[in-house]
Amino acid sequence: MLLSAGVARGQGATASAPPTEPDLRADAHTVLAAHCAACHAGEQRKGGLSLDSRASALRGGKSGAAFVAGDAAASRLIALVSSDDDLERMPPKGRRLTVEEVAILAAWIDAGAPWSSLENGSSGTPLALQPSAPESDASHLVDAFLADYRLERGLQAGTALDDASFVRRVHLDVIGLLPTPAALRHFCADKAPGKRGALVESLLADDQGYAEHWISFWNDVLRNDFQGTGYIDGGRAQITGWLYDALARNVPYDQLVRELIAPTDGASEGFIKGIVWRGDNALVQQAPMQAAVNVSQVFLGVNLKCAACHDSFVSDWSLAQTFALANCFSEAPLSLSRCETDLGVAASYGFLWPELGGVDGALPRLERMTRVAGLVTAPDNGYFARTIVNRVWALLMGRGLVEPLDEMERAAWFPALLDALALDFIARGYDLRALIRTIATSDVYQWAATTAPEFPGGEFVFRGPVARRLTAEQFYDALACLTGVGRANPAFELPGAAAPGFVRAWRVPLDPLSKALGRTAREQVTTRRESAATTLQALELANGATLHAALRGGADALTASWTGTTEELVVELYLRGLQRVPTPEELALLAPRAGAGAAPPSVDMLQDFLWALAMLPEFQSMR
Amino acid sequence: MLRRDFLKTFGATCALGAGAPRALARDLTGRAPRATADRVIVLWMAGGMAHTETFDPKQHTPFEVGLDPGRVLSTFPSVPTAIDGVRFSEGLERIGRVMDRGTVCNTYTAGDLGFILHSRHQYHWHTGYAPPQTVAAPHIGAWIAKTLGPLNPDVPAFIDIGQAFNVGEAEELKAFHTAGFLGSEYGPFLIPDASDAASTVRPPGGMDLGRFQSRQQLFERLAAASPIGRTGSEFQRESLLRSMENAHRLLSSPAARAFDLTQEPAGSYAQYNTGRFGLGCLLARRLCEAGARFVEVTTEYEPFKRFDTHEDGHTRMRELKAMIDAPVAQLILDLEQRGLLDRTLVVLASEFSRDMVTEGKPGKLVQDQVDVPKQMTELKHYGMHRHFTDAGSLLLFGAGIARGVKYGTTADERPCKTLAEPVRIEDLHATIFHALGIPPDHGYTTEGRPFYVTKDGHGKPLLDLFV
Repeated sequence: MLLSAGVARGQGATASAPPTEPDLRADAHTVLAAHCAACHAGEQRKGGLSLDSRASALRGGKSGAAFVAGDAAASRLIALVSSDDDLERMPPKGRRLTVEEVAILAAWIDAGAPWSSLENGSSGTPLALQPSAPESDASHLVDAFLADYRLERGLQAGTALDDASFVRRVHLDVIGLLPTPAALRHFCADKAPGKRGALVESLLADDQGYAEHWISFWNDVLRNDFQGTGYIDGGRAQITGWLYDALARNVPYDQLVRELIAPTDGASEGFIKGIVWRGDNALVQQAPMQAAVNVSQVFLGVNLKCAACHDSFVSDWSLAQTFALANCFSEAPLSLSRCETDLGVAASYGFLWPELGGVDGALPRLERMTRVAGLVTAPDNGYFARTIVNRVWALLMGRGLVEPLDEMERAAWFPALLDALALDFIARGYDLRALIRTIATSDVYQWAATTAPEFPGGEFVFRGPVARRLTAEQFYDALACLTGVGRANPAFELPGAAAPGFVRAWRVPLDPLSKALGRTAREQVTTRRESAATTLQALELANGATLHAALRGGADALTASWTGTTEELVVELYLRGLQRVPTPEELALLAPRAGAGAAPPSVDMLQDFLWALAMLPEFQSMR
Repeated sequence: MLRRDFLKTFGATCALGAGAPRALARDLTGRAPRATADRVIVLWMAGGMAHTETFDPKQHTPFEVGLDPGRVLSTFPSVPTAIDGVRFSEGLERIGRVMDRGTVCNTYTAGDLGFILHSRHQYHWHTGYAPPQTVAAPHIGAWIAKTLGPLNPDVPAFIDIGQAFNVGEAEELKAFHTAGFLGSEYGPFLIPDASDAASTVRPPGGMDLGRFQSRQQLFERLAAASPIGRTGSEFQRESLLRSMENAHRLLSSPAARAFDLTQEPAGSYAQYNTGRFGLGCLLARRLCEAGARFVEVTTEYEPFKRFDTHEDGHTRMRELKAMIDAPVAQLILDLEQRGLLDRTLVVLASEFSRDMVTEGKPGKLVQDQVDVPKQMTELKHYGMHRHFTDAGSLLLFGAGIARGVKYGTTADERPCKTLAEPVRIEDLHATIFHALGIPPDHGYTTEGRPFYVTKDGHGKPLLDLFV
C-alpha cells in the first residue's frame, strides 16, 4: 500500500510535494508576513516603518527605506535580518530568519521587489481594458496576437493536431463527451476546408450537451451542489435548476452574474446566500462577508480572504474596503472587526474601485446589491471580462493567461491578448459560447499539447495548450460512451425536452471515485481542480466498489447487445474510447482467440478489458 | 529521461503549480522540537462525553423518583485508579489501572460556538478552525501526513476508522474528514468498519487474486503497446502508471495483512471485541505495528446515538463505558508490550462534555436542546443530557507524556467547570505537533497566504504534560 512509493518523504515534507511554479513575490511576502507583520503592518509601525504597501516600505521608517529595489546588498532589510548584533537584528526577539528565508528576500529585492499589484505599475493590471491591434495579419484574433508574441520571443509555432485528436479534444471541451465512432468517421471523411470550425459550431449548438458539461465548472465556482454543509438547517440553497436553464439558454454572462449577485427570485439566491452553520459565527464567516469574498474571487479574480480579517499583507486590499463591500449585502449595518475584534467603527458602503462609483448605504439591501451587480459587470471594470476570459482560456488551454486564476491583479503573460479577448467578449454581448468558439477555432487551440508549462528564466513561456486529464465527470461519462451505461439515481431531473441518453455524472452526488478524481465537495469556491495522480486515487480505480460496479454494468450491457465478433468489439471499443483502431499488437493482446468460431469473451473478461482500457493514460488524458 | 524527472514534470503540470500549497520557507529541522513520537492514535468519543460520568467523577447521587436534576453531578459512584487520589467513574476500572502510564486531564475547554451543533465542534476539534472557512481547513491527520509522510510507505499515513458517512450530519462530518487545501493525497484512508477493513485492501467485488493479477498484466501490456507513449504525453503516462503500480503493490503488500483482523489470535481478538469501536482499537494497534503515522478510531458520531445522550444517559453511559474500557486499556498495554508506546502518542478526546443542567458555557445563554424536567419521574431522565463546553476529559499516553499524573482542576460543584489549566484546541494540537517534532507555526501557503498547523501559528504546546 504505497502512498508515495519510492518517494521518501522526510522531515520538512517538501521532498515529494508537487513542484510549484516559481513565485518570488509570494515567497517573499510569506516571509515578511511570518516575521515582520506583527510589528510593521496595520496599526503597528514600529520605528515608523510600515510594510503595508510597497510605497510605505520604500518610504521606510526613522532609519530610512526598508530596501532599495533591485539591490539587496544595499538594502537595510537584508542587513538587519542577517545581522548578528543583538541591538539591531530583526526580528529583535524570537527566532532568526533562516538562511533560506534571507535568500528569498534578497532574491526578491534583486528582482525589483514586486509588490502585489495595483500600485506597482511594473506588474499590475489596470482597471480599464486596453485596446490594441496586432501587428500580424493573421485573420484569427488569437492567432494574430500569438504570432506577435512568438515573433517577439523567437518562438516556433506548435504542431497541428490530427483530425481524430481534434475531434476528441473539442468534444470533451464543449460537451464533455467522447465523439461517437460515427461522428469520428464522418468528420475524418469530410473534405471541406472549414470542417473544424463547423464542428465547433455544431457542438456549441447542442444546448443540452453544452449545459451538461459546463455546469460542473459553474457548480465548482459557485459552490453549488446537491448536498453539503448548511442544508441541514436551511443555511444554504441550491441553484441547480436555474443554472442549468441559464446555460442551456446561453444567457449572457453579465446578466447571469447580475442575477447571482442581486437575485430577483429565489432560484438564483443560493450563491449570495452563502453557507450558514448553526451557532455563533464570527463576522468573517457570516453571509455578507462570504458574499463579498465570493463575488470578488469568482467574478473579478480578486482575493479578499485575508482582507476580510485584517488589512491584507499579500495584496493591497484593506479591511475597510472589504467591509464596505460586505456591508452592501448586509441587512444591518456592519461594524469593522479586525481578527474577530470589534473596532467599534461603522463600516462604510462601497465597491472595490471607487473610481467606478459608490454605493449609497441609505438604499434598501436589494437595491444596494443591484448597484454592486452593476459595478461588477460595468464595461469600465476590466476585471470582470478579463476574469472569465482567463478562466475559459485556462479550461481550454490547460493554463491561464494570468496565474493564479484568482489573482487577476497580476500581469498576463501577454496582456494584449487577454484584453483583446475581453473586449471581443463584450462586443459579442458577453456570449460565453462565442468566447469558447473564439478560442477553439484558433490554430493555437488545435496544436498538439505540450507536456508541462515552461519557465525558462523564471518567466512562463507559452508554447501551446498544456496536456490535461479528464475531469471526474468526463471520466465517468467517457465510460458511459464506451458501454452505453451511465450513472443511476440522478439528483436532478433534466427539464422536459431532454434528449434520450445515459444519465451523466454531474447529476449524481459526489461519490468516492469522483472525489478521488478531483471533484470537490463544493464547500468552498473552487476555480481549479486538483488533477494530480495519487495513490489513493489509483486505489479507488483499482479496487473501489463504485468503478467495479459501473464496469460490471457496462460489461453486462455490451455482452447482451453485441452481435459481432470479439475482434470487431475490440475495434469498436478502441474507436469509442480512444478514437483510433487498435494496432495489430493491441488486437493480438485482446483478441488472441478471435478467429472464426471462437467463443465470445466472458463478462469477466470483458469487464477486465474495459477496466484496462479505462486505466490507460491515453484514455484518461486530453491530448 | 529518468522516471523521477517524468514525475517532476507531471507534478508541475497536473498540480499546475499556482494554487498548490507551498511549504513556508522554514527549516523545520533547525528549530523543530525534538520529536518524542513517531505516530499518533486519536480515540474519539463522538457525541460529547460527560467528564463527570467518566474521568472526572463528582458527588454521586443515586436515582430516585422526584429527584431534582440540579442536585445530580454524577450518576455513578467512583472507583480508584492507579494514580493516588484520582478516581474514575465506575465502569472504567481497566483504564484506571493503566493510568500509571499516562495523564488524565479534565479541563479541555471547547470553542465558544453558540447553539450547539456537534459536527461543528468536531470540525473545530479536528482542524483547529471553526466552520465555515473560505479555505478548506485540513484535518490534523492530514497536516501530519503532509508534514511527515508515511512511516511505512506501504501503509497510508492517515487512517480513519469507524465513521460511516450515511448518518445524520454526514455532510458536516465529511467537511472535516479531508486534507482540505493540502490536496487529496493527504486525506484520510477511510475504514468505516474495522471488521471489514481487509476488504479495503482486497480486489473488488470478490475478484480472485488470479484474475486481479491478470487484469493488471493486461493493463500493463496495453499501456506499453499504446502508441501515445511515443508521442507527446509521456509524463501523464508515467505518472498514471506509477500510481496504478503503487495501488497494485498495496493490494499485494505484506502490510495489507495488518488490515485483516482474522489474522489476530482469538484470545487477543476477544480482549478487544466490545463491538465496532473495540475492534477499531485492535485495528489501530495492528496498523501502528505495520507503520501507520496517524490513526483515529471513533465510537462513531450519529445524532442522538452513542455519546450523544439526549435521554436515558445513565443507562447508556454504562454500556458506553463497557464499550471503551477494555479495548482502550488493552491498546495501551499492547503498545507498551510491543515497545511502541514510548514513540506513540495516544489521545482520547471528545468534542465537549455534558451536564444535566447547563447548556454550553455557564453564564452564556445558549439555546437548550433538551427539556430537563424539574423533577425526575423516570430513569430515562437520569443522565447528562445537555451539552457542556467549559470542561471535558482527555487522556494522554506515551511519547514522553507524564505517567500517573492528573493535569488541571475542575469545580466540584455545579457548574463543574474548568478552574485551572484550561486546555484549548490550538494548544492541544500544538502539544500533539510538538510531540511529533513540528513547531506550532509550521505551515504552508495557499492562495498567497500562510496557513499554519495551529490557528494563526499561535498554539502553545502544553509542555507540562510531558515528563
